Amino acid sequence: MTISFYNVQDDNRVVNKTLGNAVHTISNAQVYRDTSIMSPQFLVDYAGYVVNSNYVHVPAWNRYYYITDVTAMPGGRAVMHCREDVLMSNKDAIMSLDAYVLRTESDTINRLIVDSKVPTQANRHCKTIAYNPIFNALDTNYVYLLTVVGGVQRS
Amino acid sequence: MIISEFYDDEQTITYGNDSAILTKNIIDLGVNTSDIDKAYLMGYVDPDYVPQITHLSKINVVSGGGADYVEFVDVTKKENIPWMYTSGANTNGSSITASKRKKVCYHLNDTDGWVFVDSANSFMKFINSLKVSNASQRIINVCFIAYTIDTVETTKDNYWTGGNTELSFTNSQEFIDWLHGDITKTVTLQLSLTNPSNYKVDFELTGNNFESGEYEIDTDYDGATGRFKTFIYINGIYFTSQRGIGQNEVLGQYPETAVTYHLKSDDGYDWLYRVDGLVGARFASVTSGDPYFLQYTVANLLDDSYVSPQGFNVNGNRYIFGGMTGKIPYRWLVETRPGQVIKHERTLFRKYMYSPTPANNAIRIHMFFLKSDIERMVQQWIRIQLAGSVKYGFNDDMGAPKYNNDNSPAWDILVGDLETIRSQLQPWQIDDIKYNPFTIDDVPPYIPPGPTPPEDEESGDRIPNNGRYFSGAYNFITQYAMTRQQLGQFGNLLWTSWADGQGTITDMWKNFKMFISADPASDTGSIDIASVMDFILSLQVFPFDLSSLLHTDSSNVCIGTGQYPLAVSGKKLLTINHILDCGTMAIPRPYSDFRDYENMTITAYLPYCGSVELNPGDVVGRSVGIEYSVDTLSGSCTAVLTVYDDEGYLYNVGMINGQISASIPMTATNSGQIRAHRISDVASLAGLAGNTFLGNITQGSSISPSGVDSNPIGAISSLATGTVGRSFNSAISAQQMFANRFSRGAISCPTLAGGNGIAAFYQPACPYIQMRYGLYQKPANYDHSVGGVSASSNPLSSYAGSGFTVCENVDISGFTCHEEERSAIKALLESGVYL
Repeated sequence: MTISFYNVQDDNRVVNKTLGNAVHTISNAQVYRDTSIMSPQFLVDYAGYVVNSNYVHVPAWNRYYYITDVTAMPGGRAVMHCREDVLMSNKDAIMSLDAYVLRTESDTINRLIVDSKVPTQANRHCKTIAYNPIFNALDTNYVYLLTVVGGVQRS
Repeated sequence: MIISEFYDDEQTITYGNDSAILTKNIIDLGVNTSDIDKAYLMGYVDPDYVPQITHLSKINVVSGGGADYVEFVDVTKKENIPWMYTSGANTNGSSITASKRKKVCYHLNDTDGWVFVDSANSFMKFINSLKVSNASQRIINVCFIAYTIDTVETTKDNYWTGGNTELSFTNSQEFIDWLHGDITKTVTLQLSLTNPSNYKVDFELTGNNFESGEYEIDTDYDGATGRFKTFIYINGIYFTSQRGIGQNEVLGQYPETAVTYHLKSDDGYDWLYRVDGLVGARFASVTSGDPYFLQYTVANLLDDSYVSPQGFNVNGNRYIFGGMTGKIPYRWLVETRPGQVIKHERTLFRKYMYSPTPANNAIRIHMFFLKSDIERMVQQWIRIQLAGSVKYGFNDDMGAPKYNNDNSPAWDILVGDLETIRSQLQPWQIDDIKYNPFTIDDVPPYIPPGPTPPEDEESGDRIPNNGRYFSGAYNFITQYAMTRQQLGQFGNLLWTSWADGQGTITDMWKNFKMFISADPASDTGSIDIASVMDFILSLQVFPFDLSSLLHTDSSNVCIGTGQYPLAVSGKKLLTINHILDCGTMAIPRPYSDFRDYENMTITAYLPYCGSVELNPGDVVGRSVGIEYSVDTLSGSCTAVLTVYDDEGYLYNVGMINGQISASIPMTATNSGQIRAHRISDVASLAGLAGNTFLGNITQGSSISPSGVDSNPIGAISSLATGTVGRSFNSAISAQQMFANRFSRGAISCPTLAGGNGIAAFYQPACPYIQMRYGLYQKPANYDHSVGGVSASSNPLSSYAGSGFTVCENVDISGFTCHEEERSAIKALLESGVYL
């Protein structure tokens, strides 16, 4: 079985991981005992690339795996414990999904929708906006209003 | 922090063997910066003068041409406060004695300690030393301790004739901006009549291309004469400047005699700038020393006196401070106090400059504004678009406008016509309903305060306020607005003998008989002293200047038959309802997202009415106008808050009633009533309906006239809470009033709503809106870690490279992997992945 070894630095949640060049590729990997497709164990020659890699691609299964552990065995062999990276293994199908995106980092963020995850402080800010100060007349101004009967001046 | 400090306690400073006692007043220019770390102290001592500087707003430095001084402008003073005269004449031409020039000015720096500043040039050096070219240098304290050396009445006739090193700041922020070396950024807005192009420029969202500092708009007017407007649209707020250029002006000859700078903002300020008397000024050859329209006097604003603009020459170009006025109504000012100069807070364009174009065949108008001004007036802005419009007309050799063959004015729009601009500007940025930038009148149209019915009355979507005025009551009564002095004159007339100087009580009615009776010589009749007072229905006091109301007319006071006007003047009201325009203020968006509306409370505090809660969705990001509809008969008022919706229609977002006047007793009975009674709510007044009760009203209360006519005493007793007074009904004649002898206390005793009469005047001088909103801690990596709410539906491939993404209820049909894998994929997509 051919297995290609990689060093991946992306977060596990990245769908399309950046693989870079394969650290090493072997063709003599074997399945160790009965093993699950999602959590396989491979019997490989013990080598530096096995220990120093964290990611493998198994073309025969068309899947990608995290190397979760390596068990060294006598005789220069090692058992490589793996867990499937379902995101990378199905990245094309995932990217073609037409999904309802609830939250995103993209520019489709609608800032006007209430985001309950934004932490709020208990205190509140008070901003005052003052209008024209028109109620500031002095009594030297025309502030008194005398109402009289009649007063319609005859010409 | 750069502050200008004037301390009001005495303090002795020493420098070597010298000492001086300084009297100082603290002044806060209202600017806080945290980038200052050097202390400077400057002072000038004149032991004969106690400084009275309280509101420093500007610092002028004049050096050269026989003058050398620094001048402080205190907005509460009629004259500017010269400081540090070292040579030359006083501003009025008189010499300054040597003893007066003696002064002590020091500033403290890190290396030299106390340094003597002995001239305006030295002061400039000191100022320049404060200028920093990088943010790491800091200045912590700048103190100016200024004293006048001579309290001369300042006129500026010769103020501008020699200065060639002039530096002025309107406020300390300008000073700081200058210190930090903000440079002028020229906006490439060319409005050439012969080659129109680039007549619009956009400033996009915050942080893109609208930097701090001063901006300059250059407008070239060549090839025609007429009236030109350059304007700025800012979120629907419309600022413009308009000026006229006369025939042949562009060829370097004489301009027309009047220049009008039309500055308009959305809170109703009309033109604010007009200059007259420019005959002889030549734009194409502006040089230092040209006499120009720079007569500068500071007027008492209460007198509606003229205030001319101020300007100066720099390198042959003439700078003019914008915003000064020819003559403006007192009420149009932002903030005024007796003796205060006009503060052009609402002016956008700070300076204008004229200069020849490089080709010398046109005039280039430079208009300057600061980003900080826009921010201050707009408070929140999203997009600012500068657009130029040139509408020009043709004048004949005499400067009179020409007309076409069909007698229509020979106007044309060459570039940047309104429709073109409209098509390119965002709809919500043009407030078409309220402003039409194109007029052909010399004087911009006067827009009275108050609601204006929209032009299109056919649309059912518009909900205009009833802007009608009513004056029918003045067929039977008259209302006079009076000052304290005028009221005193009226009181003297009441209580002083008119004929024989005896001053006895029995003479009082004789005084009034003449004015209220058809038979002034008669000494008989049923008129007695008490009935005289029946002609005086009420005396109210208002917290605002009634002469500022729209419909008033100066007049002598007449009462009764009005046969003889009294020797007392007042402002006669012509309508019984009036609109007070408190202006329009922009409600900012603190966050520009949902936080502007969520967890946000907005409360409008309306003096004499109360408070109104506003819906953030109605007002945030918009401008809210406040007007008071005042009933001068009753003193009741209704405060109305309005906004323009997204389609430019005006609608009310809040209304509240109140009581804006207090009654003043004029008789003993009155006084007792005021003490004994309070106005209660209309609901407690049984059997009352009909006409408004003069001077005795609360919200909506009224009294049936018929009830009073038939049984005035009974009507009193029927009032549950003891409100008393006379009802006014047009059917009641004065004679009937006499016959009823209803009450000596014709004047009622209302109280301000919820208050205690005049004591309730102790309220804010202006309405204000308070926004209370939550504070959020949103770190910079929030979107990457948590993501923002999207609520969108697209192929995930469209989000490729965008980062953190959370899906909801993903349908993974079509996946051919195993069940556990499908479940794992769905769980990951719904918990968040990075695309």
